[in-house]
Amino acid sequence: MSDESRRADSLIADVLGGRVKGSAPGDLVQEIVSEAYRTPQLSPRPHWLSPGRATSPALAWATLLLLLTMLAVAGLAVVGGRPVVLAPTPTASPTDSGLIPATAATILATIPLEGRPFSVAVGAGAIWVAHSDRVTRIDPATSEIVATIILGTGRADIASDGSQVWFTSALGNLVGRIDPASNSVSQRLTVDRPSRLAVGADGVWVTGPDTGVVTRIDPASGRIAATIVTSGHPELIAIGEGSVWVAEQRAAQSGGSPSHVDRIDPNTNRLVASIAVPVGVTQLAYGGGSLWVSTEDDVERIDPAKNRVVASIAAGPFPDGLAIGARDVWAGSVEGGFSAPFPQSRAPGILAGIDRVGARLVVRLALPFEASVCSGTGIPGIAVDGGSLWVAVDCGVGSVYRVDVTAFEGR
Amino acid sequence: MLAEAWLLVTDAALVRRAGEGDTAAFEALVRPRIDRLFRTAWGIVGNEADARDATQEAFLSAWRNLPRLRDPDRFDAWLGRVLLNACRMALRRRGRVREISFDALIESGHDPIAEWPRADRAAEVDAINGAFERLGADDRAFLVLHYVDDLPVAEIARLLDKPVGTVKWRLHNARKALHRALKEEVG
Repeated sequence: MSDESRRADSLIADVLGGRVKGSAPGDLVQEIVSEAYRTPQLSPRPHWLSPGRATSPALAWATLLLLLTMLAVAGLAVVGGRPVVLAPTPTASPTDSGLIPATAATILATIPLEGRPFSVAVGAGAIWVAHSDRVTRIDPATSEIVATIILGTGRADIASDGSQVWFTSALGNLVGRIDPASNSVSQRLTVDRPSRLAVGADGVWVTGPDTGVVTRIDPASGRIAATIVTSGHPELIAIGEGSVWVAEQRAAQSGGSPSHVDRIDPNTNRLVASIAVPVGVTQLAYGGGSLWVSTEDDVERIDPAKNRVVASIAAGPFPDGLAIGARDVWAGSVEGGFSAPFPQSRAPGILAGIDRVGARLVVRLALPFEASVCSGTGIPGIAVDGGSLWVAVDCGVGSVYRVDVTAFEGR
Repeated sequence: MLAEAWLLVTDAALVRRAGEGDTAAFEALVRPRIDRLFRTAWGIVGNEADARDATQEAFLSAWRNLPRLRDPDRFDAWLGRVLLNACRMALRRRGRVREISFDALIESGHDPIAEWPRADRAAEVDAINGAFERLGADDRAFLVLHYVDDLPVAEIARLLDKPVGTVKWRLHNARKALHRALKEEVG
């Protein structure tokens, strides 16, 4: 190697080395392990793809071709992450698999985001998305981003009761309020390791899975009004039927005791019921006189009058994002494909519509995003605004899909 | 402290335990690797926030897919590819990558990097950083592993699960791509 080459190599090493200014943050391991604790693992490889069988490249390609063909038959195609219109109306006929392909008429907008999205909410006439270290405001009239509020720290959740907009930032030990008039943070409050939150029942309610408590904040004063110790590690939260409902988010393979949903009475700030549910709870939502609980396999319906599960609806693998529509409960899930080492596999995201009254699956809508590159559960949040679902998608490029479901709910 | 209790357990055993849903075993796999992966990610994506996201995504993707990892001894190679994929996604999210075509590279018998126009130190640093930002994730990865992590070719080959000859060729091409990008950067 010449002196010039050595000099150039040394310069490259100095410059590229200078790009990296530190070691991994101290809390990153714990954050990863905590999320792993909540993240379901894939089942072991199907026996026909196990070692010693079906491992020849020819068969692998044939399998891939077959899967792609099946997707094509299901009426879904993806080119460069964009939907290809295969049906002229949003009420295209279900395929043999029961999937209805989303069309350009169904997907009204796709809004790319910076970083991973964590949560989406509707309030104060806007759509609010927590992603990366910021909150983005979307105008539902135009489906365009109109403001971005930098929080400075990430892992945020966002919630609204229709008028107030509040957020948590887990990494910043922060709970705050956003002023929709100025698109700025108008109140800040330190809360130890907050996770999810809900607004209503005369309070802002913040879960703390690491601390084992639910923190109640008085929205008028912006001060902590109560700290409620629960029976586990509360993370998920919903408000309805004059109660606050919380549950631990834990993957089924983590084992341990059965999962349960705790019910809190806001009048006394005490637990009044603990309801057993299948292990692997991923989301809570209240609507139509019931509490809806998504688990790794099903969506459970809890009757508040009986404090028990009264129905289980199979809504697809790993349903996560959950929202209450005008007529249906909508559960988002990612079907099949995941990240490397299978980057070539592509499979759709699914929006499953469950009839709120009959507690039965009525529609499965396929969204054309590339599930093979999803992080976490793929669809971390769904919010409803009129006939539109705003679906946060954490797959490759973080984005929000606006999906028109009026045709499906107007059946 | 939790991870220290696993010191006497082999990595392959930890991988198997983690693949059965054991988060303590998974933590014992994460701790000794996180600094290296985080630094590699930072070198590739260029900022701490994206590096954090990419590192987290890589480990969580590994966690989810662990039950399907057939050979526990190849965990590090597999994890390296998963991290590279996560970095690729981070760059796609930012949309700032302008891929440099290998076809357009100037073939030369000389070391292309050595032929850079010399300038003052600050200008050189800026130009190299700017040129690096023009590269794709794969080229960045080879350069970071070689220049930042100071890994020999054989170790890069093991981490990325590629033949040594392929790594040499890719590293050579990455240097050429950097050269090309540098020429565009300095006009």
